[in-house]
Amino acid sequence: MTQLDKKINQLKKLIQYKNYSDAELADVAKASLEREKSFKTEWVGFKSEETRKANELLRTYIEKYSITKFSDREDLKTLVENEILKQRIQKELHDQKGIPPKYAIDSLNTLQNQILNLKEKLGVFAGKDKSDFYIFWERYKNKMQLYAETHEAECTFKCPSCGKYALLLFKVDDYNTFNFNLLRGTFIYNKELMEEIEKGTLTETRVAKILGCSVDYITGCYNEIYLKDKSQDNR
Amino acid sequence: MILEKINEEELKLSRILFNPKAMLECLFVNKIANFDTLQQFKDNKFFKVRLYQIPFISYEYMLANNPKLSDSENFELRKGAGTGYYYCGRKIGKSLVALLMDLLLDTIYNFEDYVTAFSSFDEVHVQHILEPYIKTLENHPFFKLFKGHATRHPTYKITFPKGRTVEGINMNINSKNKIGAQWERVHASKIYIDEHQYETDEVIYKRSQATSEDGAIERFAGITSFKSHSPAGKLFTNLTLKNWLTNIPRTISISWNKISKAKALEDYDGKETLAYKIHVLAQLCEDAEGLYNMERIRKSYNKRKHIKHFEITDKNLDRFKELLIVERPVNSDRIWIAGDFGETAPTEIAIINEIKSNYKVFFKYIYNITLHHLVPDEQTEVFKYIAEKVQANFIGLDCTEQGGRQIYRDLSKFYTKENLVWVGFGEKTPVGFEKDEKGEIIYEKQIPLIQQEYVIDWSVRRLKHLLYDGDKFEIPLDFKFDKQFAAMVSVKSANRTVYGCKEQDHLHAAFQVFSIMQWQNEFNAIKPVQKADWGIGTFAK
Repeated sequence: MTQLDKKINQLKKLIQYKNYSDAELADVAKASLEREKSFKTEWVGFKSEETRKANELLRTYIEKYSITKFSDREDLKTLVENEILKQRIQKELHDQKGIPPKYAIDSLNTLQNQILNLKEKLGVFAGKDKSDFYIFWERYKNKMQLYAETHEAECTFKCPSCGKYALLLFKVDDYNTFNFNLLRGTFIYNKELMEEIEKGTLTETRVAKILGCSVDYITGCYNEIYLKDKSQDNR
Repeated sequence: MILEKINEEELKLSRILFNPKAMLECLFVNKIANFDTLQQFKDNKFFKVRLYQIPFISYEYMLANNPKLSDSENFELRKGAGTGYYYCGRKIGKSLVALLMDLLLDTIYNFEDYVTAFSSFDEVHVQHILEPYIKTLENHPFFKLFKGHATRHPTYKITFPKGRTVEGINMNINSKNKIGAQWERVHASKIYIDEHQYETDEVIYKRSQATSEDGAIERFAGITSFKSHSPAGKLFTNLTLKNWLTNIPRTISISWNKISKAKALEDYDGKETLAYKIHVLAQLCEDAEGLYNMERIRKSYNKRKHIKHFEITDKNLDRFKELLIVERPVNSDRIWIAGDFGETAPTEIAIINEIKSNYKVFFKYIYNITLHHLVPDEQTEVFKYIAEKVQANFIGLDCTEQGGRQIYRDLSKFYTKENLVWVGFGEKTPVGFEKDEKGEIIYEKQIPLIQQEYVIDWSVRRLKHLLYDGDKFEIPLDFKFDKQFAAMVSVKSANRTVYGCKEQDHLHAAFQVFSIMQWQNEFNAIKPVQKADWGIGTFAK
């Protein structure tokens, strides 16, 4: 039995997946395995309770932040280790009676500094500073860039005219593309509206109002484009 | 550095923040009285981009960097989405939307290590856009956040903390020895030019070196008061740039009404004047010197096809038979080969297919072959190979120069003189009979008097007859063809018309050869040339 099958069997027993088909369960199992893989880290010298806490803390960081570099992940691991050690020292200090020993306070301070340095290095505080617009804007742009890269299908636009793809800085998966039939070259023009003028159902003034142009322009389009096209089609 | 993951709200906001049209509408107030109004911001008043102004906006800001592409490929995409050439009538917002507002948007997105240049033909026009730009940076609550710092002397320069710079470039068109010199200090990734119609060749020469490594996004605006051979004219008539060109008349504006029309008619002395056509209708008025009406020639273009083009040089001559993949189309009635000889300049060969259908003759330009640095003997070999491959009915050569005459003489050893056509542009050709007032042919000593025209004049007349309006010719997209025909000029000198070209004109000359050849052989049913493998001087066919 593969790891995936084991996971599927595990999930089947859970009430929330009761109505899931095998294919749907396989998808959930795959995602779950991947998530577990990304969270899986070996902690040396931690007690089982500390290991649980470390995993929980790491999971919180990974869920909140995007980590793209290996070095960042290693720094994050050190940060979590330091935070757990800090908690261990704090707990010991709390349990002791009387004045805490100097070595314990020094260790706590050193760890605290290391934690702050690591957070600074990882950019955990960067988003907090609202005084500099550039920092916010740069991070926002980078976030969108990363989102576009990691959610290519949601941010890719296919030109209905040339069929080429472009990666955009926002989600377009719920957008529709269509040929914008109010332009002819760069001229504002719509054949259907011209036909309405010919039939007499719309006046040139009304069409001008619809397209946001002058009446003279619509008259020009009707005479110079529509009627000429029509005479050419008849030829 | 780790990045906080994007949340739903930020994702929704990105649809506004990275949409240039939405940004313009949110950042500026609804009624823009003048450029200084851009400094105002009201959160309940929104600017409205008019339908015809949609092409004025640059859409490069929407694009994410595609990690699968290289930096230069990504920049090429940005160029495609950001470039725009706006030659329109007055007062429709090209300077406001396409230049000034876009320059402000550019500040938002290209804030890091980026050089943008803004140029115009004199200092006043640089100031005209950059002053309101600086004021908006200083006073608009959103643009203030970018902390721009402006210096105005000796030139306009606006710097930003993250390494963005906006340089003001005065072209100094009226200067004696400093024309375009300000471009020499700049390497811009984005170039804005206002009143582009005034740019000269000298400026463009200096500007061409003033771009970043990957080139530059170009956004030029102006009116159509240029000739087709000027830098703006070349952009305007360049078919490859058609998708980036915006040419709309002033009449499109909703503010154009009877009063403004009457005022314009008064100002420009009527509807048919050049000034009215330029300032209001935004038409390129080819002056008297333009030889062809390109719009009429372009009706013959088949935009779905590109011309099949081959190049043979002294370097690849040894395998020219492998390179030239040509054949006679099955529907062909007659095949015409027209060549303009050049030895240091290229020899251009145009192959034209004649099709008869329902007693109507139609021509299709099917191949263009260019020969570089080949001596006449080598060229004869190539001509012979092509003629036999396509089974040409007629081979016409420009015999004005010695090289063309030599090829003609060499080919005449293989083919009958009926298959070959000698075209000398300095000579005259009979074009009809002299007639009296009653329309009857005049005889002198029982011989009808022949009307003659110079071959060069007659060829141009015939080309206009054949190429105009698209009912006799099909021309697949060939930018060389379009460029050379558009660049042809003519001037009257005494009784003669003198022709000239600002580009190379060899392909045009090949078509001139074709027009004469076709004129002379319209009704000649000549058999195609046959492959003649036997030696010269033994059996001449």
